[in-house]
Amino acid sequence: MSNLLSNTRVGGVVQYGFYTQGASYDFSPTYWHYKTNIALSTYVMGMVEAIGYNYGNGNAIRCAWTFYSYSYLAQPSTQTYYPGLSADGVYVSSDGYICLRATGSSYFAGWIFNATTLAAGSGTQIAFTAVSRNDTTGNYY
Amino acid sequence: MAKLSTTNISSGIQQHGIFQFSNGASSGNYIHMETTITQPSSNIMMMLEAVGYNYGASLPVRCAWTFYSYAYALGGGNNGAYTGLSADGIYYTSAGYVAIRAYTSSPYYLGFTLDAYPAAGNGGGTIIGIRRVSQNSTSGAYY
Repeated sequence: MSNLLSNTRVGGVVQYGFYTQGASYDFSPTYWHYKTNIALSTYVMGMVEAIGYNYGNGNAIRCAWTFYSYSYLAQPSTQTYYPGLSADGVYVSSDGYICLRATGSSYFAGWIFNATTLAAGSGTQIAFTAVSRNDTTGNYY
Repeated sequence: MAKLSTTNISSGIQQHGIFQFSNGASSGNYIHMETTITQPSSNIMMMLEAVGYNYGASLPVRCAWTFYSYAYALGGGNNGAYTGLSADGIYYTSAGYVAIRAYTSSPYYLGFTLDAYPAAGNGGGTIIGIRRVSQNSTSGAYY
């Protein structure tokens, strides 16, 4: 039997508030692209979550992106718990980095990002190296 | 009984565990929590989220309230896949504060913590707490 207790850490693989998306004051454009520092073939399994409040559409925000930076983008997914902002997609930038896409109106909206890396690549620090708000529904970077 | 003194603030924008609620077999399907945010026109935009466990209903808890303490009360609740507790509404209290109201059909051994996210713009980083809490049968404004 493995000693699961020895694998128990507080905050070791959770990054709280590694990026804060400031408030904005107009409704459009409605796509947000976040380029991470995680390149393909770095073998990191990550979950990034946005949490906050969209006053403009009157909803809380909690949505998540998952990815595995294998030699290709493996097992990407998105889920949206509250409809203030939607996790819209995961893709690979033209220079080989994992990118996240969100969509939602943004009249007085703000959210904070937490990240978790478990299993492969546990403890890897996730950061955003570029952020853009635009009308691009597919890949921007 | 609720523990009003349980406060843990990890940052201004993300405040974890600002309040802990736990009961036993006490009755009352509504839980009223009066915040420290004054009204009207303190102009704070806030998201509060409850995370916990409803033993009586055998369900996890994750639901959220959003409000803007404008000249009049603006806001409401969001409920997702975890249905152990419902964000039932917000209101202004007679004492001059914003209150949030939760509902559960089964209040038997219910516990949750509140996290706060003042991230939407006005009032960003405002520290929030809970002044008073009551579990009762009032479906409207209690305080």
